[in-house]
Amino acid sequence: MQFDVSALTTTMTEAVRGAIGERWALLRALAEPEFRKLAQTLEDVRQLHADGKIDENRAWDLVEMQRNTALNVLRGVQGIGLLTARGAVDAAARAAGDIVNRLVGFKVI
Amino acid sequence: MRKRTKAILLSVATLALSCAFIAGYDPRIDAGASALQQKVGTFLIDLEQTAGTPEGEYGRHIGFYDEVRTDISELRDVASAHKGNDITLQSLDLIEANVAKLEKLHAEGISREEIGIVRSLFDTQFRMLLQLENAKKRKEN
Repeated sequence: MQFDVSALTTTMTEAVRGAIGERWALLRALAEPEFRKLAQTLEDVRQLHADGKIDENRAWDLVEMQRNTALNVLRGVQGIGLLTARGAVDAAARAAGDIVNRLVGFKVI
Repeated sequence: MRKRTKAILLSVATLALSCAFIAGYDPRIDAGASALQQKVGTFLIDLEQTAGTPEGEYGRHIGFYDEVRTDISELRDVASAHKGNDITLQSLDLIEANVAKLEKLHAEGISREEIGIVRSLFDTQFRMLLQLENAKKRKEN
């Protein structure tokens, strides 16, 4: 049975989209090509196994490396997402700063 | 008025705290990760050419793996000196885990096709790590 690389890419992409919500648009351009490459390498491993060029243990080793790589993509998306959110919070804090400082009577933000 | 002030302060504080702190940009991590990406990439391109020949045998390349582990350890030391670098540290750990896997595959015997797959995986790992470091840099500029 062959992987549907496109469907697999979409599945991984949608999972991340659900997890990061509105920040998705900013991170999509970063994550999607990486997931597409990962889906392709999964298909390459399946093909090597189907052709009898690697055994099951070797296939598992390569899939484990892919799992580590997928986690790298997620960590990167998470970090860049947090930095993006941080930027939004800083902007919100700056925007709120004038009002809050005026209300409390000294510079708190 | 006091209630309103408290409410606004609480909202701003909650919003600020809801975003986990991320360490600032450190050019040593950026430069070190770029150099490591280059080192691993060049090694895999060479290995792709020599796989299946005596020149490509694991025994001749043990030094490369030791060197890469040292490089990762040094990058970890730099990253762990900053608070809020958990994601960078986890990314380095995942790269190290794949280096250990590659070493195992190399010792057992690795084909050109497998090296092609592994090369693509390392490319992605380093690209994501460098994207994160560049995002920190952009944030500071």
